[in-house]
Amino acid sequence: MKDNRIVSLRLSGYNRSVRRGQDTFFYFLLFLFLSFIIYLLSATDGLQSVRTIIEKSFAPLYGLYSVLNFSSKQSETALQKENRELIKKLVDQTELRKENQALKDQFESSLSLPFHLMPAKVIATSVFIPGVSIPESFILDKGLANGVKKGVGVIFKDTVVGKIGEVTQHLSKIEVITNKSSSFAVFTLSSNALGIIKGGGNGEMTLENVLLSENLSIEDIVVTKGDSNKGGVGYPKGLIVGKILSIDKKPSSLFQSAKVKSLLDFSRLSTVFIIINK
Amino acid sequence: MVWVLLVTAFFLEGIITSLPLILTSLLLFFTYRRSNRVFLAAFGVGILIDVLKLRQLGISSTYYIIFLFLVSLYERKFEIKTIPFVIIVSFLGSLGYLALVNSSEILFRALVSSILAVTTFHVTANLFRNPIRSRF
Repeated sequence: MKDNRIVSLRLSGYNRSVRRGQDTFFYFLLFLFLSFIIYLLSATDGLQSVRTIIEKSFAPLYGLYSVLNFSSKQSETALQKENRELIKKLVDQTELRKENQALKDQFESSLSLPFHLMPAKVIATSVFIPGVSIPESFILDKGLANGVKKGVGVIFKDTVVGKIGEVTQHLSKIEVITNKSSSFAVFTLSSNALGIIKGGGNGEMTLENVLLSENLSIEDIVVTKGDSNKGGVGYPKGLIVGKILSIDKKPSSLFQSAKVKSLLDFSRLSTVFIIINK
Repeated sequence: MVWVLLVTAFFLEGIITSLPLILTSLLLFFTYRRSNRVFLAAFGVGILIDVLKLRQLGISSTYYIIFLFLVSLYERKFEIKTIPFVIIVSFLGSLGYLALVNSSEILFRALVSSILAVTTFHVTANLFRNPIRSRF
C-alpha cells in the first residue's frame, strides 16, 4: 500500500515535469514565432506605425535622460571656447586661401553644398559606464517627419559629432565618429595630407592610409574632405574632426597613421545640429 | 521584486547604458520564478528595447527567448539557483547579445554584466529567504 502510494506520487511528479516541459516548449515556440514575424515585418518597414505609437508613449521616459545623465552640463571654460573659435578661424582662413589659389590657377574648386542646420536635442545615449565612458551613440528628438535622412552629418560648433545611423518617424540615432563602424575621408590642414579617419571605440580615432611622403605634425588639425552628395548625405567639406595626438610612421610600411582626438567632449553634449540639405 | 528589477533594468538600458541589464534581469527572473511567464516578459521587453534603441524590431526578443529556453533545458537537469551558474550563464549570454548588437569591448562588458548579475543575485537571495516559487 505504502509502495503503491510512493510509486503513484513519483508518477504524478514525473507527469507534472513532463507537462511543464511541454508547456515551456509551447511558450518558447509561440513567442519565438511572434518575434520572428515581427522581425520580418520590421525588415520590410511594415511596423512603422506601431513603432511610432510606442515612441510617442515612451516620450516622457526620454525626459529622464537629462535627470539621470551624470555629465549633462554642456558648458566649457572661456579658454576652451576661445580655443575652439580660434581653430575655426584658422580652418576658415586656410580654406579661403586654398580657394583663392584654385581660382587664380583657373582650377575649379569644389564648393560645399548649401545646407542649413537643424538643432536637435539628445534624449538618450548608449554608454558603457554613465559619466565615465565615451558615448557610442545618441538618440535625438528629430526624425523623418522633420526632414532627417539616414547618413546625414551631425555637428556641434563646426566640429563633427557623427552621422545619422538609424531614423524613424520622430527619432534618429547618431553613430559617433569614434564608433568602430565610422570611417570617412579627411585631410590635414597644414600639409593637406589625405587620409581616412576610422573610429576605434572608446573615444579613439585613427588617421590611416596616409602616404609616407606626406608630412604629418602633432597638434595639426584634421578636417573633412567632403563626401556629401546632392541629397545631403555625408559630410560637407571643411568640418573639424580633431587634432593629431601622435604619429606612427615606419619606413618599412606603405602608409603612416596617427592618433586623432576630437575637440568635443561627447559625454557633455545635450544639443547638436543636423545638417539638412536646402 | 523580479518585476521591479526587470522594469529598472529596462529603464536604465533604454536610456543610459549599453550594458545588457535586461538579459541579466530575465535570467534572475527565471532563476527565482521558473515560470513560463518569463517568455512573455522577454518578448515584450525585447520589442520595447528595440524601439528605444532604434534597432530592427524582434532582434532582442528573439535572442532573449532562445537564451531563456536554453536555460530552461539546463534547469530540468541541474540546479540553477547557484552563483557559479549565474556567473557563467550571464557572462555567456551577455557576450552573445553584445556581439549581436555590434557593441565594442564585448569581453570586458560581458564580464561587468556578469559581476552585476551575481551581485544582484546574492543581494536578493539574502533579502528573500525563500524566493523559489515553483508555480507553473
